[in-house]
Amino acid sequence: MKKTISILIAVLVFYTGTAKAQNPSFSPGSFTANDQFTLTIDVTGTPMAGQSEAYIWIFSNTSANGNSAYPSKDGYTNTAWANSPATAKMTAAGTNKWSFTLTGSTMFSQTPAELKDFGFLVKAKDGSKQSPDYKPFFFDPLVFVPAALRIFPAKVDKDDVVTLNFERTLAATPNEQRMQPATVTVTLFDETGAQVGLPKTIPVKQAATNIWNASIIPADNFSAAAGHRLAKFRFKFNGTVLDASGVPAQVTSSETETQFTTLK
Amino acid sequence: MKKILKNMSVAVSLVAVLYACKPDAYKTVGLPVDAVGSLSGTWRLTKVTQTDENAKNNGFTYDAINIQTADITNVFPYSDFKITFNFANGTPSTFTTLPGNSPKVIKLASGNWSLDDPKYPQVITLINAPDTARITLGAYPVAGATSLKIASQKRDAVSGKLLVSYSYEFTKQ
Repeated sequence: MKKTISILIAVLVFYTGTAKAQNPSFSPGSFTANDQFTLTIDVTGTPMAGQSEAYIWIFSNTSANGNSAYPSKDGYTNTAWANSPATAKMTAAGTNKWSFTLTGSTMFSQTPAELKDFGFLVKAKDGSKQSPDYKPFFFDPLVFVPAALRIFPAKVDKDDVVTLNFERTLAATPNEQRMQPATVTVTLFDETGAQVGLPKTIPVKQAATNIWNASIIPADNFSAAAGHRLAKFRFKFNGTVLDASGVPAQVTSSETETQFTTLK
Repeated sequence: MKKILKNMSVAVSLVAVLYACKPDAYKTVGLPVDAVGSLSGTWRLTKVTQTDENAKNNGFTYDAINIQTADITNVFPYSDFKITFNFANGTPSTFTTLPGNSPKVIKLASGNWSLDDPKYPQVITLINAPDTARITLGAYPVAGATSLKIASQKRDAVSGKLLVSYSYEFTKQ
């Protein structure tokens, strides 16, 4: 029994030690390359321990191993090793603890698609002292979230080509999931919410397995009244399902709304 | 005798080496590339590509369908669209557009055109006062290329973030 308790205590001590050893820490705990986050590092036991100020030296894609899809770059704060700029100065966060706030895509001037991870070290301004490298810390991938009704491109203005998509497998109701789409109905609204003209119904084509679409240039099909502008649109897909006796029955999908983005 | 033969072989070798070292005459590199002149004439729109720049920038992918770029050439009758660039005395003068049933790729029907750089242009400005349109050149129809590529970028009016772009490819008529 004593032996079992000893083992349990040992395991507990081990995991407590492991938890304490989580260094650096991040807030929030996960982030994409477009999210701002703060890292906090404890430099106790490194040559940077006891220093009155600290500077970050930061670099991207430490685990890319030369993969050209993830080019490795220095952060914009890495100017001169022997004279770090004020933009690289870290904030004191306790004894031997320093923090720094950044956004990956801004720090490295890289797109989220190009950023896999980053690493950093803590240094004296003149580079005479430094911590070991801390790496790699991975960015969360930015994820496309599909929906049954969606447009391409995701942001459009009234004079853009807008492709209206319906993906049957993502639909919520059995009728939508079984529907054989034939047309899509588009309704435009001005900035007051008033409907512009009459809805237009246009044929759709199958673009991929279980995906149907149609394209429209809103401004070529709808004109807002004088003094008003096209502000948003709604669309829904229409089609048929076979009823219990095998006869086609008309069905319509749910409707979704999109605001125009002013583009120039 | 051996000495004579030896001297003769050395002499022959020397002549051969000297002849081999004779510099080649430089060949002509041809006439300078005339990027501006290559724009002259009538061009028909043959390919239109639309890109969701935000999806591309973020590396979004989706197995079911391309969510970054779409070829919309045949979605609307873009191939009806033609543009003619005229020159007068070797410099850009007038232009005309014939949209047919195509969407309004360029809204101006006619006017004058100019270039930002007469030798290496990147932007064509179309003018029909008070309206102007700026076209960004993607590729010149020179050095074996037969198409003229122009691009249009659309940014969020508030943030300036690039969100949508169009690539137009023309073929000389």
